[in-house]
Amino acid sequence: MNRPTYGDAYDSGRHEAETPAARRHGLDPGTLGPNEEMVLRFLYYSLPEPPVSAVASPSWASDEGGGGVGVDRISVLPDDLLLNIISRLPARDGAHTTALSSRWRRLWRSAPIVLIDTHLLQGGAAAEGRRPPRDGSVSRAVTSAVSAALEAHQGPFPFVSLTCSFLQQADHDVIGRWVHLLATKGVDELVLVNRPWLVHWLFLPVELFVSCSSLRRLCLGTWLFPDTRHLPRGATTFLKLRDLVLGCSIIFVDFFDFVLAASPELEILTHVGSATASARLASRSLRCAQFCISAVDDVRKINLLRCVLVRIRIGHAPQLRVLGYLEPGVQTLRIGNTTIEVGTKPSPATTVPSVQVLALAVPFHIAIRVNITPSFLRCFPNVETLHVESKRFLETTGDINDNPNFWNETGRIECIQSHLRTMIFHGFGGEDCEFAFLMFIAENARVLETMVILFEDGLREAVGATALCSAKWTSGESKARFVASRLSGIGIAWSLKAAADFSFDDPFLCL
Amino acid sequence: MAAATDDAGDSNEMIRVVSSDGEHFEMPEAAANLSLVLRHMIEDDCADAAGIPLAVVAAKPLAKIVDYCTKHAAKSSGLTIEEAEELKRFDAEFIEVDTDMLYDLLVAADFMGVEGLSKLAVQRTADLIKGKTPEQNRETFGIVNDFTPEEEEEICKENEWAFQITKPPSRLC
Repeated sequence: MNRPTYGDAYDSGRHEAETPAARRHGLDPGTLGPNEEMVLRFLYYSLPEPPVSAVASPSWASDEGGGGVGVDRISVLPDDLLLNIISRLPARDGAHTTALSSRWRRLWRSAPIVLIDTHLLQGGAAAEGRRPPRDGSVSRAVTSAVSAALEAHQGPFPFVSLTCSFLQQADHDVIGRWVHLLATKGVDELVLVNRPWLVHWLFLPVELFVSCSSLRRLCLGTWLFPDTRHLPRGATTFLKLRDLVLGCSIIFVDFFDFVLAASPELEILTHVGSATASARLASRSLRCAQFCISAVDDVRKINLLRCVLVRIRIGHAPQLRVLGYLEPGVQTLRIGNTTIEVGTKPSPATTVPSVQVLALAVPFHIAIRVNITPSFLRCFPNVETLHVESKRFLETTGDINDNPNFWNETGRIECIQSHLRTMIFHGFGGEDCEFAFLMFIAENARVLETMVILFEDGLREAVGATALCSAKWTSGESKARFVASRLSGIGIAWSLKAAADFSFDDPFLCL
Repeated sequence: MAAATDDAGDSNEMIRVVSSDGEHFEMPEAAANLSLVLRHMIEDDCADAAGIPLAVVAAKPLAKIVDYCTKHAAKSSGLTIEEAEELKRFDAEFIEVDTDMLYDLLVAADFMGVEGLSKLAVQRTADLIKGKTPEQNRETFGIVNDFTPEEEEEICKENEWAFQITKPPSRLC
């Protein structure tokens, strides 16, 4: 039997998400707790791929014949070709070309160069991007080399990635100088991640937010952000900034106001594992906002939202198409000025008709959480694709949901009755309370085309599934397909990069 | 696959080009269009039976470029994953050439405005330079060291950071 495509996408994504990301940060295992480990792994996984690799090409036909060619033809190539070649070299190899001959002496300084600090490591560590596991002579040598390279080169820098240094409060001048040089010489894409975790209480220099106007992409990790309340308002510093990643940082209230106002072209905002009291997203350009493993509330005025938040307020978002994961009962949802509660009657003031893809995480065994779920669903009357993550292993206090007729008694839910075409149930555990929800969908979703139920591999026997297949499907014959998944039951899997790729319609399937 | 072939064969016309040393070559119009210079000539109706003369491109590199363009034009749009991989393999084998041919391709691709090939040749050259000491690179590329010992010392000082972390090369720094 052919496996459904949903299951395939799910499983292959899982494999890819886990293998290369494992320990990419390279820190000493002893330095991090399990949560920090998880968040950092996630952050490093979401950093952009460098455009230049330190992997050399060992093979060359003439090397085999003893190496060396007679006539120097490379040095007579025109400047722009040589500059082009140099700009594809790792920084150190590039700087080495200054020592070749007088013809090469001045070229490197004016070639646009890619500066990646892992390339400044010794031998194999550079090619593999193995970052130093702890603060010490290796990381200090890299920090000094970065400083010297930034001083020596005239810029601009198309891509700079600095992720090896362990900067502490005493290094305030170092980061200050880096930012100053980058701001004055010009940088297009900048990745700036301090190590190991937020222990050094080092503030990012304000200059980054007021002078780095050439940036198109910016990734910042494990920093203490400056208090932007004192910065001048109304300045559009980041005229070209399209993609902003913030991770594992302390970010002040009002920062989002500031940075969104300063970035008129910003399309993708990603926020990983940072504590933030409030993120008010008011932007005309933003197309995708992702908040992962974060504590944030208050979100308004954007076109597309993909998130894990605590309190959400949707103000004015007429083009919000994708939303999730919402956790009814954990998160408070406000639409306009109405807080959604059990029994909130749907009205134009409490609905977001633009949302077509919705994802919910629900512990079906906890009464208080299930009870409010219909109210959440009623806020999004036009949902065509619904993802539901069953949170079976959630430890929580609260009464057990023991009403088998809960869903039948809940009344009409517009999106399920009239619009739902695709239902994907993640983490199915074969429990009665989960069945009750799926039966409700089967018996009420009139235009349903597909119901995919992903279950944990080990539960194949327990799932059985016969009851659902013999249900009275209002859409005709049974639409249920059961798919075993290694992922089920261990929480929500997510790929920041795939989710921010606008060529995919449904980010909850792009792992 | 079928779509890609159709694209390449939109016009079945063959374009003739003549190398600096007088050799004639032919390629489909879609292939010639990958060269900015040839495309402009075709658009300006300069492509005739006598062939477009390329004054600075000799027969040897031109034969390679015709190969490259013909292959890439046949697979220009709507690539499947397999086709993209195959094209990548073709590129990798294609650029395994000696230094003389590499320089010829660098110059010719640049002159003819064949962007993909230009990138490929530049990347190949960079990959050959990477991870070697200046002395090794001089040997590989036949570059003559025209610095005085004092100048060498000055250069090392200027970019000490680059010469320090790496293993010291045999001669310089």
